[in-house]
Amino acid sequence: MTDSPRAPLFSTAQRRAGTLVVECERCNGRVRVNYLEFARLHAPLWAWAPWRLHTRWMNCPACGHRTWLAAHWFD
Amino acid sequence: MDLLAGMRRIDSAPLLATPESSAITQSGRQGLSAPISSTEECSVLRHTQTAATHLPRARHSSSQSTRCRSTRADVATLAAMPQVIAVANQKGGVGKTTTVHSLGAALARDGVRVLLIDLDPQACLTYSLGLDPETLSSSLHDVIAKRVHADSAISRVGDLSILPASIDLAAAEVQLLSRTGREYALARAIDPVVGDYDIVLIDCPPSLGILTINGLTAADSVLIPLQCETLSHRGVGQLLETIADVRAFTQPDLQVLGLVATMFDARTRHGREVLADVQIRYGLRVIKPSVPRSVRFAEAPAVGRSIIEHAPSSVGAVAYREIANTIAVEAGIIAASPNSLTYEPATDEAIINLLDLGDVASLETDFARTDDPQTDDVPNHYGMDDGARI
Repeated sequence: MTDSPRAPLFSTAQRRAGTLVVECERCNGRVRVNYLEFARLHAPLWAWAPWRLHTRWMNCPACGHRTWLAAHWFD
Repeated sequence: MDLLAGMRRIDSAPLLATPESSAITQSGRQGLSAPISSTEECSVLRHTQTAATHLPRARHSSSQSTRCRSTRADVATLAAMPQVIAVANQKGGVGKTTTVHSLGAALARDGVRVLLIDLDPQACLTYSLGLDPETLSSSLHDVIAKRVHADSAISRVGDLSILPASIDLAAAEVQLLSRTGREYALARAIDPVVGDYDIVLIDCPPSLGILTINGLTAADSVLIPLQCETLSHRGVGQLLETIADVRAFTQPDLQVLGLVATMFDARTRHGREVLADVQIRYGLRVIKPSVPRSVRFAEAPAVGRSIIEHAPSSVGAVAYREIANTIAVEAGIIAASPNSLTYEPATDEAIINLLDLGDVASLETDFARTDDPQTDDVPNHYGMDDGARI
């Protein structure tokens, strides 16, 4: 997937240290965020439901809505 | 056929919306042999789930999705979800802006609520609608930068709504690079207003950058204008690779609506070969009819109008009206009589015949017609008198 010459245009294409990918249940958007941004997306309230596919109720950086997201550290 | 034989073949079949899945398409095929009807023949239908569309189901959660409004008595807009269509081709000068403007005008004329989004920093679409990009109070750049709400940046020009661009948009590309979720900036910005419209047409810039990725990510489907020349043909291959990347990274539901052959000259063998080759090589469908080259397209922006208003009886205007009707019917936005669907899938036999020039007569006969003599005396909006017009 990262072999494409256009990959640098996409934030999720290339793994970088100190980042993870969050995936939105609502809009299916996948966005790479750094840890600080990830923490900020939890504010002001967040919830964690480990039995769900998308475990975290927090702000989506793609659609801007507060919804359920999954975090992938090794994507 | 070795035309562009050096190009890498792309298996684009999964990108295509399949006509077979559409009930409307099935009904439309029955009427392919019938004369093309105008939008005046559209009948009022209630929208049902069985009236499946050729287009992907929109993702937008519109509170207005159940609204039904018509500005003409004989055409009804159905309660379909809004469709966001990106008009894209990385090659410049293939007719993207003209296609967006003409399709938008044709759809608006039929009572469809249309929003045009100018994603090109050159602001050609904005200028074509008679707006001055230099004097805009707010533009798409302000919306993406979250300075103003999309609703307040939208301008109304006749029946059309436009989210205009200015040269400032060039700076947005740089600003977006460092933003989290940069691919979704446009989708996020227009999400609150998309529900107010039946169709949103995005005029993508003629380059591959963050803005184009934003346009494709915000869209449900892509319409590709194709100038029937070798370099434009190559651009289609590159665009399909980009679309594959967008599907992989940001918008898995993005589909290719089809090609619109622009500036088509049926008299040249090269044009016909390119059109046939692009159908064989990429498996793309061409939405008929092809749009012929016409000086009317060059004249229309000078008076701040589309060709639909500037020269409504010209072959170009007729072609765009038919394409617009096809798109609207497939999207389930307007209901039409069965023979109003003008799309005819190109069969292999037809293409081979075409290449052998054994079936040249099957090409659009409207090219045999000539443009109407110039009759308009409307002053253009940059102060050029009629005598100065070419």
